[in-house]
Amino acid sequence: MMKEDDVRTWLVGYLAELLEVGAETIVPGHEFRDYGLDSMDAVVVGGALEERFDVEVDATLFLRNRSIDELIADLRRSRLLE
Amino acid sequence: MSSGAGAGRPRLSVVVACYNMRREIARTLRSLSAGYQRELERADYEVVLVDNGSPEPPRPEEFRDLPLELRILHHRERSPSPVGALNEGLAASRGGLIGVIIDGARMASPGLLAAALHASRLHPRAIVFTQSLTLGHGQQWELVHQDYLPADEDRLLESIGWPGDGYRLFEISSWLTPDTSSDLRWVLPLAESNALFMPRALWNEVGGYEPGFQTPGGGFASVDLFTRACALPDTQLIVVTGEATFHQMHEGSAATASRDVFGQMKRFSREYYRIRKHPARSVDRPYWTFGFGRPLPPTRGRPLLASPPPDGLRRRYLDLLKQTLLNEGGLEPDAVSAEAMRRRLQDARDLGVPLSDRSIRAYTMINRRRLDDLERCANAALDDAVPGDFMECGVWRGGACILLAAVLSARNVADRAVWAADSFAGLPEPAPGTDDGLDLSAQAAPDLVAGLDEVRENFARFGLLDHRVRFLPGWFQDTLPSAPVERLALLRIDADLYSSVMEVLRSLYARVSRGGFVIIDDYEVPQCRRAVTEFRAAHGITAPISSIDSTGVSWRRE
Repeated sequence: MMKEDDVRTWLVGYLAELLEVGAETIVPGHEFRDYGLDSMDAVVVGGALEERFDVEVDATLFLRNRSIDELIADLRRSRLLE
Repeated sequence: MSSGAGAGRPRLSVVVACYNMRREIARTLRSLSAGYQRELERADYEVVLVDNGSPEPPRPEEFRDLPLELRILHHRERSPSPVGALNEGLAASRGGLIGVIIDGARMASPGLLAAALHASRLHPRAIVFTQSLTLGHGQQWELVHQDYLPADEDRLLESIGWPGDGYRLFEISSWLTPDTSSDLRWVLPLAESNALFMPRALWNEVGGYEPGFQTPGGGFASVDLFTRACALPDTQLIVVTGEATFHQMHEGSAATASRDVFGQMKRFSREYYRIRKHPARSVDRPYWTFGFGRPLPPTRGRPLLASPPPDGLRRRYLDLLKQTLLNEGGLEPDAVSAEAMRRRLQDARDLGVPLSDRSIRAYTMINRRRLDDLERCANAALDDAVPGDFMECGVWRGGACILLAAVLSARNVADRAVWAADSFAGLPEPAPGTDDGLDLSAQAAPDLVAGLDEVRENFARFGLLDHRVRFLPGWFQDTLPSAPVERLALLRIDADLYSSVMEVLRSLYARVSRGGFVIIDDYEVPQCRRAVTEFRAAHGITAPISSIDSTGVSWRRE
C-alpha cells in the first residue's frame, strides 16, 4: 500500500524533473496536459510509479486522470492508497 | 566522394541488428547498398549485420549480388533484447564514423549515409541523427487494428516503384508526430533515434548500449543511449533533414508484438526507471540541421490512402484549413541558426505568446491546440443539437471565425450563422479603473488591428464568405446589447480587457443555450480573468472551467 503523501511528493518531484521546472510549478489541481504532457508521457510516468512503489497500475491510469488530485482519488478508489 | 581511407578501413560502419526478419532485412540491406545510397562507393563503408539468434539466420550468399561490403555476425547470447547484439556489432566495426540502425526492419532514404558523413565533418564531436517514419498510413499500432498486413505493405512499395527512387518512401509513410507543422517535424526534440551516427570515440565514451535493458526490442535502451550521448561534454547535435529511416512491419517488432502499446510502453518505462532512477525524456538542446538542399519530401497528411475513411475528407479539409490559418505550411529555410531554432521550438510549444514570428503572417493568433479545441466544441454543439449560432467577439483577422464557418460548411449546416463582432479598428483604450491601464489600442498595438475589408477578404479567400457569415462592426457597448443574435451555441471571447470581456458577458451570456460553449481566450490575462470570475460569481455560474492550454479556458452552460 502506498501512502498518499509519498505518492504526491514523488509525483511532484518526478514531473518537475521531467519538465525541468521547480517543484513549486507543479500544482496538484492543474491538468497534466497544461504542462505539455502527452499520452505517451503519461504512460511513462505510470511505469516509473510502478517501479518506485512496487505496485501494478493500469497503463491508462494517467490517461484517465487529468491531474494529480484526480489521480490520487483514483488510486484511493482502486484501494492502492493507505 | 572517394574512399580516401587506407586499405580495408572504411570511413563508415553501419551496425544493424536483426531477429527473424527475412522479408524485411533484404529490403533494409538493399536500401543501404551502394548505388541506392548516393554519393558513396562500395569501399567507402561497411554494414555489420548482427543476427540476434534467429532460427533461420540471414546468410551471406543471399546478398551476394548486392553492391555492399557486408559482414554478418551471429550473436550467441540468447536475449529478446538487441543490446548485446548491437554492442557486438559496435565492437566489430572498423569505420571512423559508426552508425547504428537498431532495428533491421528500418529502410534508409538514399542520401542518409552520405549526409551522415557530411554532417559528422561539421563538428569533431557530432551526434548525427535523423527522423524515424513508419511505412503505411498510420502508426504501426494503429495499423495492427486496421488489419494492415505485410501484403499491403508490399503493395505500397510496389506503388512507388521501390527501389527506383528511394525518396518516394516519404509518400507512403507516416510520421511519429502527426500534429506538428511540416517544417517543425524535422527538428522537434527527440527521445531517441533509430539511425544514430557518432565518431568511434564517442561510442567508446558512452560505452555502447546498457546491457541492463532486457525487455523485448530493447525497451528504452535507445532512449537511454541517446540521452547519455547527448550529455557528453562538447558534443553537437546535428539532425539530418530530408533523409529518414522507414520502419517495415514485422513479426515481433516493438510496435506489433503487443497490441497493448500503452502496457508495453509502461513496462519499458518501468525498466528505464529501475536502471536510471530518473524520468526518460526528450533531449531538448539546440541543434544544427544538415540537408542536401533538395526539396523536402511531402511530410504531411496521408496522401496515398486508397479510400478516405468515413469523415476523412471533412477531417482533411478542416485540417488543411487549420494548417493554412496557422501558417504552418510556411516554408522554413533548411538550416537556421541555433537561436532561431530555439525560438521556433518555443513557438511550437506555444504558450499563447501573441504575435510570434509565425503568427504575424497567420490568420489567427491562437495556437493549434486552441484551434483544435474550437473545432471540437463546434462539433460537439452540432452533435448535441445545442440551439443557436456561433459567435466570436474580438476576431482580429478572422481565423477562428473562418474555422467555425468551415465546420458549418463541411457539415452542410445552413441554418446557423457565424457572428464576427469587432471594432475592426483594434482594441479600445483601457477603461479607467477596471482595465488597470492595459493599453492595447491601435496606437499602442497596431498589430492587433485588422479592418473589416481585410477580414471579409480572408473569408472570401477560403470560399467561406456566404450567407452564414455576419459581421457586427463597432465597439461592443454599441453593438452587442442590441445585436440581432437570438441564441448562441458557442460564444468565443477574445478581447483581453476587463471592460470588453465584461461587456460581452453582460450582453450575450443570457443568449447562450443550455449546453452551449463559452470560450475565453485570455484567461491568463488578469483583467480578463477578473471579469470572468466576477461575472460567474454574480450570476451563480458553477459550471466547471476546463483549461484548453495555458491561457484558453471554456465551460458549457448548465
